[in-house]
Amino acid sequence: MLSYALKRILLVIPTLIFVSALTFVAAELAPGDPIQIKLGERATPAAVAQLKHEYGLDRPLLVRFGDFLWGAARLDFGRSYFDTRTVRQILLQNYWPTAMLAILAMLVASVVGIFLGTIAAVAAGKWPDRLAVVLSVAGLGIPNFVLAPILVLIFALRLQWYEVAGWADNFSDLGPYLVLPVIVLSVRPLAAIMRLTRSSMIGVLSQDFIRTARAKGVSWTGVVVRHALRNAATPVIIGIGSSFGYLLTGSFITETVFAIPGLGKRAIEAIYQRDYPVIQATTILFAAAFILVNLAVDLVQARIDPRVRLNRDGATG
Amino acid sequence: MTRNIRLFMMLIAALVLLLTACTKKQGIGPQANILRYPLVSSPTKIDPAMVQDGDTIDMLLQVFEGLVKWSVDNKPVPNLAESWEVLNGGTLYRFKIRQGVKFHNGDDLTAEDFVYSIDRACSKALGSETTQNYLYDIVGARERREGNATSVSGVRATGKYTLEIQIDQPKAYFLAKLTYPNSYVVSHRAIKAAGGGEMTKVEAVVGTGPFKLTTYNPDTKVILSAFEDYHGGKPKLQGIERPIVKDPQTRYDLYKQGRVDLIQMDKAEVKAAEQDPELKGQIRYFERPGIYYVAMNQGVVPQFQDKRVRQAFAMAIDKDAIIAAALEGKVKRADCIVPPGIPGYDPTLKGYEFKPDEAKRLLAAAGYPDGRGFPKLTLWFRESRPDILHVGEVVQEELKTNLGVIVELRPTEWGAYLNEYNNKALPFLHMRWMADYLDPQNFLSTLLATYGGENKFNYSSPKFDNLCRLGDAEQDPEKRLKYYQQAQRIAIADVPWIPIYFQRDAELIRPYVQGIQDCLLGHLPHVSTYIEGQ
Repeated sequence: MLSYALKRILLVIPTLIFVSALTFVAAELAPGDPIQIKLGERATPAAVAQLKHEYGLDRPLLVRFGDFLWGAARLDFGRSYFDTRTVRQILLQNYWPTAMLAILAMLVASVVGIFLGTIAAVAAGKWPDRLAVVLSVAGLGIPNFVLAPILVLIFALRLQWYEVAGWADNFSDLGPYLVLPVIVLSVRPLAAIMRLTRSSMIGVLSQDFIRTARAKGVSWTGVVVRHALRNAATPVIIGIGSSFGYLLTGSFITETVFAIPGLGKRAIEAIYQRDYPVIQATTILFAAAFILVNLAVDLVQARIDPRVRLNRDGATG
Repeated sequence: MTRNIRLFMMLIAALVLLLTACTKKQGIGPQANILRYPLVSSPTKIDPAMVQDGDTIDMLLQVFEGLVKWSVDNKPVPNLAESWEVLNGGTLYRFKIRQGVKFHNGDDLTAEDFVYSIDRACSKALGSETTQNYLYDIVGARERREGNATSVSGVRATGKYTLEIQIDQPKAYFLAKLTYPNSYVVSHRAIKAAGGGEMTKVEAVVGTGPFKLTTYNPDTKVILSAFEDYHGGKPKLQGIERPIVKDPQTRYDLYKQGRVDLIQMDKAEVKAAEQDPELKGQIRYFERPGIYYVAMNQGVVPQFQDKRVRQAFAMAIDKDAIIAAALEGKVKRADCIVPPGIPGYDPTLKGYEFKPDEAKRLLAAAGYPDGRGFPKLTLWFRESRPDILHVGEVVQEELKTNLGVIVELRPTEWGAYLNEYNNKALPFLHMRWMADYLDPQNFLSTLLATYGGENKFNYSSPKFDNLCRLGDAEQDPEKRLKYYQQAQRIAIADVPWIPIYFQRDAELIRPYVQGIQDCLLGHLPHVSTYIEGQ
């Protein structure tokens, strides 16, 4: 188990280098010049050349890439072209709203998703099940940028329950700002988790050992929670993991609409400005988060289901 | 077993509790003398010597001040300089600095502070990008910026409250340039205490303006609070809150909710507000000193050297068709170059009116009947701007229908566009020019003279240049205006480019926000603004 985990962690490094290389090449090929954008329409060619030199942008691609990797290894991502802060400061200040939203949305999605999925499975074919299926299809289908304005219109502007947008500096004041973005973010993973729970549970509930347990006199809730849910957990946990990766990295639109100072919004701005140091650093961070979450899912899965560990260990030697 | 169920139920209960506990309604509607209006992007800079974008300038104007400021009638008037003399035939400015002015940290303002501030803005170490545009007229500024001097030789304090600035040649628009934050006074002591260099910390941001910067969070908001000892009297507002909200729809929603008192609107929000019975009466339109134009580059497309071709293009494009869709038809059609409100605006000029038959005849006379033999053109413009795309589409359609000229549209990423633009390499282009300062020189000489920094389309008329040079140097306002008016007439007749419309901005302002003062460039510092009934 430990060696397997170590191997997986070591694999993260070449993956991240590959991702960085891709970002560098993409930035090189994309049209647009951060220095021109920074200096604006009044810039003289001499001023552009001078500033390019100051930022080291006149050096060959490979030299810049090497420089970036060496810096990244020391968690030094350089200076933003536009922000007065260093990239590291930006990351440190912007990651936690994103992380907090992702964790809360994941919590909501998992709890409600498993709950509804279980009910749907137990009532398979009856009306609660059909309703759940319809809802999950709607949840998977509706894009964030459609759902967000609808929720804002109803809950912020009409009912005046929550804030339209924004963020509070104090943790205790955050509540009214969090509810709508958390709902928006959790809808997709919630629908996915509900579907996974439902199908996985239906499969388990039809198996012999469930009937045996019932015959032994275990109560119906006991059967569902202790026997069925535990056996149906594996695909659900995988689903939760991949949803979490999506949440950690996919909150671009939600953060922009709700004016949340998170990394997703910052990354989008950086892309518009061609702020390469910020683009590269956020890409690496997103990639690392995604990889680590998936690794965690695999490890948890191995812990719950011994068959997984044996297979993986066998496969990786 | 039941433990699991209980845990599950508790989680569900916690969620429900969270949803209900999170409702909180403070800060809806007018707040006790706090003006709340969103910044449309994070402040790019908090240093007046470095700032370039209008939104951040609007914020810093509350904090920092210069020798002169804009008045409500768009003229440079005394601010920290209470008076001045123009000597040596227009090359020496002697300013009398206002006495008794205090910085936010309590220090007294003297002429030496301006010597320090202007020298700092010009220094190579600071590396400001706006110095060349605004301060290079000062003797020695260029040498200082390029690192060949240790101070700006043309700026000196000749008394505790006397400042002298020497410029390289008579330039009647020089005072107007000093309204730009680049030359504003900053506190040497505060900057030194914060570690020197560019201001990036709140502690360094110490000016003489009506408001102090108290909170600066580049991700969420900026808060300014009234400066009690302001030399113009304590401001009526207690403070200004600027939440950073980039999404225009979100700004609009925040305004509707009553969380902010004033917003700038984009086209889509103007449309929505016009249809909202409550908000319709709160829309305010502001003339801005900006012009949208389509330029024909005579250096890249030889056909454009023929005046008949340029005239044909101007007559083939129906500007009114463009305007109908721009900002709900609220913008003002441009038939001259200097916008309304700036001396030199000439409502008697009509330019070339929409006459497709005449246009066709002219193009045929130039050797391209029905567009035959005319090269295919590429119209370059900035991408992701629906208004500009619309201009491009109308131009494309009308030139094809009326002249048989084929135009390909090239929406281009802004940085890439500027690259080509600065190299004078764009054959046919759409551009917007927004004034740096309110003076006809900033439009005519800057945009169209052979020596103008923004003439990126190779127009050159010795007669026009000569008149602009005369106007640039003339100290007598009336004579000056005459030179520029003549120059403008030449440029309109020559059609190096086609003016389309003048900029107009739309804002929503709550009726309880009173006392806002404006000039063409935007709201003036909120010295007299107050929240009614609070």
